[in-house]
Amino acid sequence: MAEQKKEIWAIVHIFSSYNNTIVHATDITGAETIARVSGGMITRNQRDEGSPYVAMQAAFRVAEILKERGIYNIHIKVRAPGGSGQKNPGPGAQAAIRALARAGLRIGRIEDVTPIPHDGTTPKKAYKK
Amino acid sequence: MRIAITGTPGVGKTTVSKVLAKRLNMEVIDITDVVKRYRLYIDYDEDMESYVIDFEKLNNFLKDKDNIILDGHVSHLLNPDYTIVLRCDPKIIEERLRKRGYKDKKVLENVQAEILDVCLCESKGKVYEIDTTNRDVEDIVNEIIEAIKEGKERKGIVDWLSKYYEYLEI
Ligand SMILES: Nc1ncnc2c1ncn2[C@@H]1O[C@H](COP(=O)(O)OP(=O)(O)O)[C@@H](O)[C@H]1O
Ligand SMILES: [Mg+2]
Repeated sequence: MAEQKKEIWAIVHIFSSYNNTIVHATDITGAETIARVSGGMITRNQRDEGSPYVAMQAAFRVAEILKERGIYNIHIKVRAPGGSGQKNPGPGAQAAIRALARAGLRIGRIEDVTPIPHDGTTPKKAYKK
Repeated sequence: MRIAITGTPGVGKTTVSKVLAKRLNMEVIDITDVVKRYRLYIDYDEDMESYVIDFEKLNNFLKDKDNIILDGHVSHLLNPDYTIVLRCDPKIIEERLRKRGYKDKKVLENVQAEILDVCLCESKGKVYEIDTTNRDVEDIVNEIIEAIKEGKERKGIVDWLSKYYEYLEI
């Protein structure tokens, strides 16, 4: 009984570029893939692959697979540049996060690990890793 | 007229900017160079081996300059009239940055930034994106001049994310 109640956590990685969004669930170490859904698996129209709607559908599919496995707790790692204002992730990522919550998953930490271009100069400080 | 030439480090900004400046008879400002030379930074980030740009100081430095080409990976954030976003196959960028002697972590983060369209996504206003992969500098510059002349706008021409997903799993 106690064993069954033990919480299982997963990490959902959201990668969102201008044209595409990929939602990738792994175990807590990041090593084992549980589910991976890309924009291209949702729509046949390449122009739509990065749209918020497609990102939302990709997140729903990943959420269903997690729930089938009995996983209801997730941490989120987002890599998604340039939403409105410099601080927010892109529109695809925001839609995906909302969809994960609406699917009934409990969200722990949300971490922004968007890469920062840097040569000898950088616009922002490094993320504390 | 303030033209920004932006893109991930190693994409070819400085190479293109120099040729473009000659053709348009404009001055180029290499942002990385002036930030270091005039100390337009807040501090040094050991982890990134980079100076953290002080945008207030940088904007102040650029305040009275007009008719300039801004060459740098943050140039699109400096209120340009027109932004050219250079793109290049991430594998080529990786090779170029390794040749520069960047450590693995720094190479990888820049490659990931190229894959996720970071500079493009942050670019606002009039934006024209060009894939420079395996193209001559002269050829690229000709296309830029035509785009500027005709005020062309274009975004979303590459999808490195589908092709190079494995770089993000590292
Ligand atoms: N169109 C091109 N074709 C071949 N090599 C190029 C091209 N553009 C740039 N390079 C090479 O790539 C390297 C990086 O270019 P650079 O202009 O310094 O990039 P950035 O200023 O964007 O960091 C240089 O060695 C340069 O000679
Ligand atoms: Mg340069």
